Amino acid sequence: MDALLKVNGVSKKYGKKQVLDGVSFDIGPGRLIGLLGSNGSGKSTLMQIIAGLTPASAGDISVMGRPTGRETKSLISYMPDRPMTESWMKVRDAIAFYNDFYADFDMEKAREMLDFMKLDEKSGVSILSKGMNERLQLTLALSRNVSLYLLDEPIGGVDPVARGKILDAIVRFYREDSSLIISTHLVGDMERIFDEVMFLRAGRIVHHEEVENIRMKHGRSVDDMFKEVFGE
Amino acid sequence: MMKLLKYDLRRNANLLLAVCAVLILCELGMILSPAMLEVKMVVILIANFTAAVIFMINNLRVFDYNIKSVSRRLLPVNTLSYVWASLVYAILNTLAVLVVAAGAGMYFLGRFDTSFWGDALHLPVYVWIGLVLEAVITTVYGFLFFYVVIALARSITKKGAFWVGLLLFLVLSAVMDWLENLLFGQDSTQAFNLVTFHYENGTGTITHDSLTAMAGWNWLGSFVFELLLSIAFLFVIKWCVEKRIEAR
Amino acid sequence: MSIEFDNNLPIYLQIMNHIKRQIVSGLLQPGDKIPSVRELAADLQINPNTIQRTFQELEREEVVETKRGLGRYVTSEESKIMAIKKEMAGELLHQFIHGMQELGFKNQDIVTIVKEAVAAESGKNRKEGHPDGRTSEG
Repeated sequence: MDALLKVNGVSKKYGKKQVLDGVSFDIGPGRLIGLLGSNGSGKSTLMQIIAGLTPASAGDISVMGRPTGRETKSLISYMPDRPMTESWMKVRDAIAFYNDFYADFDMEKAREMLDFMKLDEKSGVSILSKGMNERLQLTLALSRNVSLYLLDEPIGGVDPVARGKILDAIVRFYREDSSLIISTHLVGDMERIFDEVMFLRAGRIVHHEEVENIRMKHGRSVDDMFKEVFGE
Repeated sequence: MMKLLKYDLRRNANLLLAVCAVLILCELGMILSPAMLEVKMVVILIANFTAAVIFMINNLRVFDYNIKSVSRRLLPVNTLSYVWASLVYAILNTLAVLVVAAGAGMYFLGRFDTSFWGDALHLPVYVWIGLVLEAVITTVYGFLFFYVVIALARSITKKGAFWVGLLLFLVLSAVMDWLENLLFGQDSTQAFNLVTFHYENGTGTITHDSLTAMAGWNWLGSFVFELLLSIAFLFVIKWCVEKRIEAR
Repeated sequence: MSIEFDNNLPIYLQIMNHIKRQIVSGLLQPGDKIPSVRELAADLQINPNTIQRTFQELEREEVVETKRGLGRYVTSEESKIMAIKKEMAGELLHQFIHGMQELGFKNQDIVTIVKEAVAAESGKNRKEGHPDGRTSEG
């Protein structure tokens, strides 16, 4: 089975600062992947490059065999770590926006998720709390039927109640033939939903393994391994 | 493209409607006020001009937003859709100002010496065609000029893009002027004349001078020049957005 | 349903044990339908593939069976259920005997002590109104 996502030798430099250095990995279909690293380790940058928002300094990426570009935008659903809704919008406008532009948007699923997340369609987007905003961003991202979902810190800076809700939604609404890459530094909370994890340190993938393997072979939780690798 | 336009308009609806409302109120106010005719005209001219400038700045910010915001850059649309959407947005704004100005123009029609209209109406058809084509291409060229400067500025730097843009604008304008001079040996301010011509057109008056400058076939040269440059600008913008500009 | 999971041990094994305990304690009766992969994953907030693996293992061990088009069901074979009970008890017994031996008890003594302890427990249970012999294990 051909890889869903192929990342090959991707590097990114800002002036003298090397943010990503020769990142390579393959992701198969139907996988939930954790992209783990401390803050500033380049996780967001990597996701932005895959999503086509930032050009890589070197290397190439292909999704379903197609290089990053206009075509892959229809194959990828990206949720940034910062809200990207416009302040004039109400929740239903944000939904309508996605529905208008993305042919793969599932309106029914969106309404179901809004219900599940206890979001009111008529609320103004700018008055939503951080937790509610994350839920909205997640609803928008997961209501699209695509092959690859990229979620950047979906539970960062959010209260534990909202966290549970978000994790619940991710597991409940994800599609079996698609893959999700979730970046986070809150490993303990999230490790149970991952199939595989990749550790990104100083711009390099230093470890890429199946989660249950880590538990069985190394007898450790991913959180413990994370602390070892990142020396906290 | 139409969808982009729809959301651009909705996002800026408050500003657009407010400006239009103020403009209309201002004109009505002037028309009904007991001031002298000349004073009324000047005030209305200034109001229209200000509205046009505000719309222009707003349009540039809309374009800027389209090429660098995450939500726009994720959309599966052609890169140039951002350009078309902004251009149509600009046209709509201009039409709005023109319509309001025409309303005021109606008022002044009966009150001013309109003998120069007679002269204009007697110009041959080909001049009118040339006039319209020239106006269109120059407007498009003008906006694309701004757009390409914005796109280049954002490609070069993340912070202080405004100042880089300003610098680029000055440099590029100077280069364009020099080129036009070289190619057409005409008054290098002709391009600017056309721009000012356009705006004055928007306020309901036409300066006699610019009109005579349009007569004849020497408009074809600069028309082609601006057309070619416009196309070049489109390519540059496309390259900038796809290869250089990072979405924030 | 909320279970305390230990992230240091394979999750799929922990879920398997959880389901087995439910069968053994009667919370899941023979022939009962088990929640689908998706339902269970959402309930526990666990990766669906992990649940899938759990189910596959349970099927391999013939603890559950898949009925085409209907879903997964606990096996209705009593012998199988008894085997699971013994298997789970086995671990308990092993640890208990080992622990008692470490305390210095001889095998004969262990048997006597167990008899006394069971009788005492039954007495306590009767006083408190619990049904006989049922272990209060969750």
